[in-house]
Amino acid sequence: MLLCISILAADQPPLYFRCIPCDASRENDLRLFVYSSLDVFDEKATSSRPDQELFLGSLFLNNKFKSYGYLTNTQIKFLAVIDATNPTLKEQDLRALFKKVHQGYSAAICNPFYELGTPIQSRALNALVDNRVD
Amino acid sequence: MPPPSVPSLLGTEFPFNFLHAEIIKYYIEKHEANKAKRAEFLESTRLSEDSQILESDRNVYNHFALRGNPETRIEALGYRVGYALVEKVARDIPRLSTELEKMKFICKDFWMAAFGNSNSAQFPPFQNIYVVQDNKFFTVASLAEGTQYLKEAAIYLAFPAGVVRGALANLGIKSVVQPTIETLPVVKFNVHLHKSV
Repeated sequence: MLLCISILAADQPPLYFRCIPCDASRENDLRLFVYSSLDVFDEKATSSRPDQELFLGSLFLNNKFKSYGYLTNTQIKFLAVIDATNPTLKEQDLRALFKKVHQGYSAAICNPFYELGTPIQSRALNALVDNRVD
Repeated sequence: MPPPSVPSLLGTEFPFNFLHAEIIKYYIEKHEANKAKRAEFLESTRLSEDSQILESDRNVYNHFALRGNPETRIEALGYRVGYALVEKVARDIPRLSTELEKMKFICKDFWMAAFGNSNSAQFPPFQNIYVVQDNKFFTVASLAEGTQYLKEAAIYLAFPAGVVRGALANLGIKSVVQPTIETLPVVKFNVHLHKSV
């Protein structure tokens, strides 16, 4: 079950973080987990395959959460965290999800009222998380 | 690699040319009006008996009154547009890892999507300077061929130069883009890349 989506850029405060409605301590855990996965991001981005793909695959696991990453050509990182105890989402679903997040992100960037580097507020992106809860 | 699926420019080229020309006209007029106001202000303070312009005042005044000239402002508009546009165009292509790949992407796919043209030459880089030559650049395509309007045409290249700079910035390359014209409508863009590593 999808728990949260986060968009981060290099050298900037996080652009977007949205998790399913839950209590504050869980949200903090999720945020911490997202930031810990960032290190794996850099590893995967520099080392691994002669990467033809933007999707980076599973990044980090602990008992509760599992995170997946996606790095765009413009060095923007997308992270999705799913519940480790309930693996209903498969990799294919996550690839499709990331495609949608990418579309939502480029749409948000194209908004002329959006200032680059500030947190993104987008109903389309919010809908991605909210609609996945069921 | 498959071409990016951005709608071709041909349908919107016509209104864009009009809008672009009006933007340029607006900024030039605003600049002239500001210059006139500044001159008037200076005159009035000079003639009034209670005030005198000290050297320190002059510096402060210049600092306040210094607005960017039209070229800089229009190029800044282009920067934002290029930044967003490259995100869309680079969405479905595989990862661009090296600087050369990124420049090739800009010169081929991005150029086609943004300016609707293929540029014929991308010279190999000489000390970090790429020269991109476009033989029929669309913003100046309707001006008379030859060398008659070189000076006037210069400002029509500010916006595209900004677009290229914004695109490169989003891909992670800081650059300075200088357009040059020798004969219309052949336009060369000198892209100076800032060495990051």
